[in-house]
Amino acid sequence: MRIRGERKTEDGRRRLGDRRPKTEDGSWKTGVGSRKREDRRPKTEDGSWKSEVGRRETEVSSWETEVSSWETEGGRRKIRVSGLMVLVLVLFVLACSGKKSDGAKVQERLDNAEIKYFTNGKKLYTQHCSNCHMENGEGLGRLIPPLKNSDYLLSDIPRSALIIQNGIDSAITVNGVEYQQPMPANLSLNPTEIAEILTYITNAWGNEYGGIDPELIKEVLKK
Amino acid sequence: MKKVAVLVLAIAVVFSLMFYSCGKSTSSQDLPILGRTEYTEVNGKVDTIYHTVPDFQFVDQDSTIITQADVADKIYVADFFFGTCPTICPIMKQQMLRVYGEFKDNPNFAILSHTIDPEHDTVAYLKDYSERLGVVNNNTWHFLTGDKDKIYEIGSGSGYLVPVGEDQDAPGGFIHSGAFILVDGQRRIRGMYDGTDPKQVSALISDIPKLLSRYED
Repeated sequence: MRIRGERKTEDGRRRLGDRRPKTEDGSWKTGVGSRKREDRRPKTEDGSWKSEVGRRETEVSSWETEVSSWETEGGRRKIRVSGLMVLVLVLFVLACSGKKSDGAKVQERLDNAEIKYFTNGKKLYTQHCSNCHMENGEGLGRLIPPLKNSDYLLSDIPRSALIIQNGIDSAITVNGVEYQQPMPANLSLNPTEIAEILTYITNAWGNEYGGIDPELIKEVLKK
Repeated sequence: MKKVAVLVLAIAVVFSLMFYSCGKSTSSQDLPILGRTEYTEVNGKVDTIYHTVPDFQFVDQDSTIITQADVADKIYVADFFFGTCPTICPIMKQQMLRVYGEFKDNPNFAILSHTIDPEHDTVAYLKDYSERLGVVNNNTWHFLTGDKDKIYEIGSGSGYLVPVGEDQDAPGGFIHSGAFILVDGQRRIRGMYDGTDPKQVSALISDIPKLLSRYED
């Protein structure tokens, strides 16, 4: 007990001296000092309670309160808390890297010109398609077919190009499910734009078709 | 030791403040009552008359006649759509599915989706539509069809205060609002939310319990 206490004071104080201001800077974004911390707490809450949106922030900042106060208590807790923080950080990094690798895959699969098509296609998709096929490409129940992992879309690109242009009235079967909802024509889209949309929807959400040849699409759409 | 005690106390204070404020905000934050409010004098006292949804009679996907009596004393969300809508309807239905998923088992909650194309959207069509959407609890979510003029009337200024109607120039031939209309047990409109905006639908999902909470007492 005594040994631990000694070590704690020696070790702890030095660390406290180093860390305290840093921690508090981080979580409170203002000056230093353990007495002032209590004064500031209500203020923080006032700030975050002002709006509904802020309620989330309240939770976060109160969690930070806990962390910072635990850290000042000394060695053991500090290790536990920093362990937790490392875990959270790892999770964040994982989450980010997941997204990045998805984007990186698209970049590997497509050349520069095709990436341009992909990017423009995403914009056009948001304008013309996502109300029905949804931003995540999953469609809607058994009403609107999915584009994500869609055998119907990926197995016949010229057919898909024609449907984007002219719409479709008849029933189709996508991944074994029959869909009857008619799709309207998009006669305002030119062949290049349709190639852009196709590049996007065949390479987004885990679809890995690769580049779409715009010349082929132009040929298909020529009547 | 003293320091520790002070810290523990401080944390306790912070948490109790937090909970106090949370509890307060959900119970006292009343939703507005929308629409035109009139004041009349009754026996020397001023009486406030709020805008209310008038009587109605439509048929749902199971051919059941649905009237104001079926949602009397219930909290419900109304919207307008049509089955072949090429614009905002699918995303509205995707968002309404979120609302449905959250409250479908609550006996005091309902959803009324009115078709504005009753000539095409028959009972049989709406039955198929709702099943394809994944709606199995027919007691909660009613897909209503009926007399076209009556549907337009209840959508308009005398009912849910949203624009609905036919328009040759609009995609699909109809104009309609993407609004989700929140109605309380006294037929008063308590909120309008853009059914194509996930953030506003989240606000609706958090507002519904404020009205439902009175059933818990």
